[in-house]
Amino acid sequence: MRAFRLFYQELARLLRSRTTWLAALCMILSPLAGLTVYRPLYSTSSTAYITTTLGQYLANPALAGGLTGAVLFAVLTVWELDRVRRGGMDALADATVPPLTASLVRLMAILCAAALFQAVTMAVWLPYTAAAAGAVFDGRTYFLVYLLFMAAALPLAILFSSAMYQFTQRMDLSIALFAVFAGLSLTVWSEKWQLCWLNPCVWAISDDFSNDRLFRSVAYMRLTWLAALAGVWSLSYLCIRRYGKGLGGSFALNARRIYRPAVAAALLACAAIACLSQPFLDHSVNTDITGMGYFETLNSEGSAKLHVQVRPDSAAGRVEGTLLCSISTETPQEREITFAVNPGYEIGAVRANGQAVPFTVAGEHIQNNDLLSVSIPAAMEIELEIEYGGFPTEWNLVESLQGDCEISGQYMRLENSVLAPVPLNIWGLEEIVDIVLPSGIIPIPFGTEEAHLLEENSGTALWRIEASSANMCLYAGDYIREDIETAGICIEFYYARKHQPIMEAAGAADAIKAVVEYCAGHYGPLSFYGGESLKLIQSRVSSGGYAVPGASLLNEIDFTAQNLSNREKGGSAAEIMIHETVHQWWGLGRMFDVSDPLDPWSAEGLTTYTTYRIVKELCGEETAQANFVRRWQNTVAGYYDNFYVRCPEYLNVLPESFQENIAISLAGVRHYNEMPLKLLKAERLVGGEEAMDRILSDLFGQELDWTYPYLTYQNFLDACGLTEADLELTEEDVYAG
Amino acid sequence: MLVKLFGYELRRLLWNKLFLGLLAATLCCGWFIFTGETILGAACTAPFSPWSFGLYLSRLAPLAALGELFFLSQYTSPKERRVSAVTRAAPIKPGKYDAVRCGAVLVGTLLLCFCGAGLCMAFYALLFGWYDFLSLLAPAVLVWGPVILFCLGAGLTLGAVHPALPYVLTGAAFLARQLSPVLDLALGGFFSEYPAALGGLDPDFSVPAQALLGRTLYAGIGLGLLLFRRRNRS
Repeated sequence: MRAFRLFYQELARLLRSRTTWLAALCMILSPLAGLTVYRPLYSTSSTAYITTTLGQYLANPALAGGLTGAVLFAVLTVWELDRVRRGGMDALADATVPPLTASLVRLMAILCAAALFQAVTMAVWLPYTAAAAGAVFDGRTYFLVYLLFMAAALPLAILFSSAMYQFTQRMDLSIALFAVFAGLSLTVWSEKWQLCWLNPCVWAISDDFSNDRLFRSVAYMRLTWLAALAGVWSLSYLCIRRYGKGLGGSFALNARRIYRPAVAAALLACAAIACLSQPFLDHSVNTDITGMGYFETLNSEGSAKLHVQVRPDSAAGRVEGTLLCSISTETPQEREITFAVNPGYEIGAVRANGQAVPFTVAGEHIQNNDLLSVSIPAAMEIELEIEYGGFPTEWNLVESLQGDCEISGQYMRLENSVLAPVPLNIWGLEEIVDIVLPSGIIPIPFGTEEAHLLEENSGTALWRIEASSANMCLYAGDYIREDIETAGICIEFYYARKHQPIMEAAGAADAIKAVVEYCAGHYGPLSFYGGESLKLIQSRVSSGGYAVPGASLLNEIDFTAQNLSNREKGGSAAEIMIHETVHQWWGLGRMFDVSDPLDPWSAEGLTTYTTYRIVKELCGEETAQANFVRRWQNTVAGYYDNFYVRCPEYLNVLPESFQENIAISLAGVRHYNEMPLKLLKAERLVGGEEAMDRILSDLFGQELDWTYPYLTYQNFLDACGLTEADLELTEEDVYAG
Repeated sequence: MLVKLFGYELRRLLWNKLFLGLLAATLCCGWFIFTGETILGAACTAPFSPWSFGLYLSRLAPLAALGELFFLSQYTSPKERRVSAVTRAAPIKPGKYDAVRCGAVLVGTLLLCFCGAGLCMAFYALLFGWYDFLSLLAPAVLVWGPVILFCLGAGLTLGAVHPALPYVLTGAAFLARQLSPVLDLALGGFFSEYPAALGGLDPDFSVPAQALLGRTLYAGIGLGLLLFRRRNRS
């Protein structure tokens, strides 16, 4: 009871202190930094800071708040712990309250104050975030982001700084040690998701779909550190000086009660176990990132029909399933069938024709796959049944870009071996997937296949997908489907229900129709048309898009309200929508080498030029001139006036990092303005729009060299019969009009 | 006697954590402003043009103003007021004592300003091998003269009424850019927009009458407030 009374008194004293209120005020204001100077989420554009809406207005402020709050509360903790000593009252205070009790009470009071001010910060920023994020705001995401990205940093900072003070008994040294600890997290540990305790590895968060996987990963990291730092604090608790003894003497005295060191050891052991047995990433060590060398050694031995029954657990982010393999062979013999399985899955039972058969899991991870080998008996027809399930892992090579393997009640991404074990040495003739999903989300097979609803019970729905080969990718979410008939094909456009107002405001369906009609007519159909239909699927935020016959992914980040107002790409949201859709031709249909971000030749130049041509056809010459050509000219004129462009000798004398920053700041102008203007000049030089269209059509339809499958500037110049010098812009090109 | 007193006030002002903290903040901000903005050059001029330097100084101006107000707050704080009965009993005229304190504050503020400007000039010398520092005097006077005078007047006169008043007034003066770029106490918009409006590349440094009027207005307000205080005290 006395401890409770002391805690109450200490908390009340803390809340009366001006220093506490100053720290609290700074902490409450700190999310401002995330809106302005500290924006750790990746930007997809070099010309403007482009991330998702929630990334900009929620995740960045929360991460900035977490960083600032942690520093403030670490300093406040040391300041408060040192207060009695500073005032020369330590002997008196120790005589009144046992030092161990006082330490625990102070820690709890500071933690409680931090929680209180965190709640105030969340309440203060809620109206702003809700207003700024608009249609994509949701309370659960707001609460979780602030809790995990900001609030969870505070106890870690408080525990560490408090522990350091209890070890050293010096304010300056404790703050210096904290600075080192924070510095490590911000620099050398920043890309190691388990080590960056202060600034979690968050590269983007989704507006339209869920972020459960990312939240779980951050929560796991925070909890691991919480256990570790609680262990360190418990150790420091044993070092609290008593009876004038030094560190060693006090430790020996405090450790007499055996439960104290036992608690410290248990906490540290928990942290170590949690760290080593993390379930989020595989343990690939193979440096061959293609993994082809390994898989090539497996020879195909027969064929099979596959039937997968999958039951994703949206609450736990897990997958349970059964794979039924009907293997037919004309030469019955005992042999091993190998499957690629996700390393996070456990194999429950393997039966062949109803009898349990031996199997082994290699334990050697390659590209987020493990190898399951099953010994099957000699028989003409074998019904192989594999039960599998678990929490799917992601590839450890991309540990700082986690979140792809999302499985929640709002969105699921089940690709290849995450969906079901993939046979490696038998040929999958066909695959039937029965999947149980929560009602309200629809599955979209990534390809030409269609999903059919078999039955719907309370809260769940059973879907069936039939494919002509194995190795399926499946996306599921609360999607809206719009069918767009154009250019002889049906475009199935899937986008998130949450994004509906933004897509409608941008005229997404009209833009897609215009683009497909124009580009298919002028440059040719996309190689990934699947017969008479193409699925365009808005995916959860990812590091890039990709396509297969019959389906193509549109990255969510390209369709945020903010990106649709990026004037570099067009004069209106509808024009930017056209721009992003044209990337299906220039960028995905024909790829560009993006290894040098400063190279002015990129997918953006041809995409912006094509957008201009489409707008010209749809809205007329005057609109296209005003929204594109004159803007390109003005921007390029400004670019040519730039000091470093006029006097490159000054750029060359700068240190490399400065040169790179300046070059990157100018690269956007070259991609979105200078190159389209050059393409316009090329159009004039080759004889007009029709001639240019023929050239681009030939380039688009050219056979790819798979050793270097990119469209280069030289390819373009050769096709035009021009040289680089011919396309250098003159004053007339820039200042005309 | 006055020199000794000045030395004492100066030491009291400079040899404390506040000044060192402000100096560190100034240098830190200076680094970020230079590497993030000034190095690109203002309105397509060279990073070492008077326009770019003026823009750099204008970005640092709020920090310099804050520093000066912090210094002055030490003379108007409740603690200082409590000992004023003792200081007033000293054999020195209040006007002279005020002048000594103002001098110390001015030296402290100018030191902060010089350190900020010095960082920028060090970058010019090291990165570009450019040393024509005399040409940078005009933008420095244009930006910092009115800021220092305004804050001095506001800090001494209004600080005696209420400690928060100088901050409010100075904040309002910085926010006046919303009304007109020339009314901005920092004059930031002027350096980034006016050279482009002049036409041509790398225009010589010049100040239009409107901007001069704005600067004179702020300097006048500062001097007026100082005179008001002097009259009141006498």
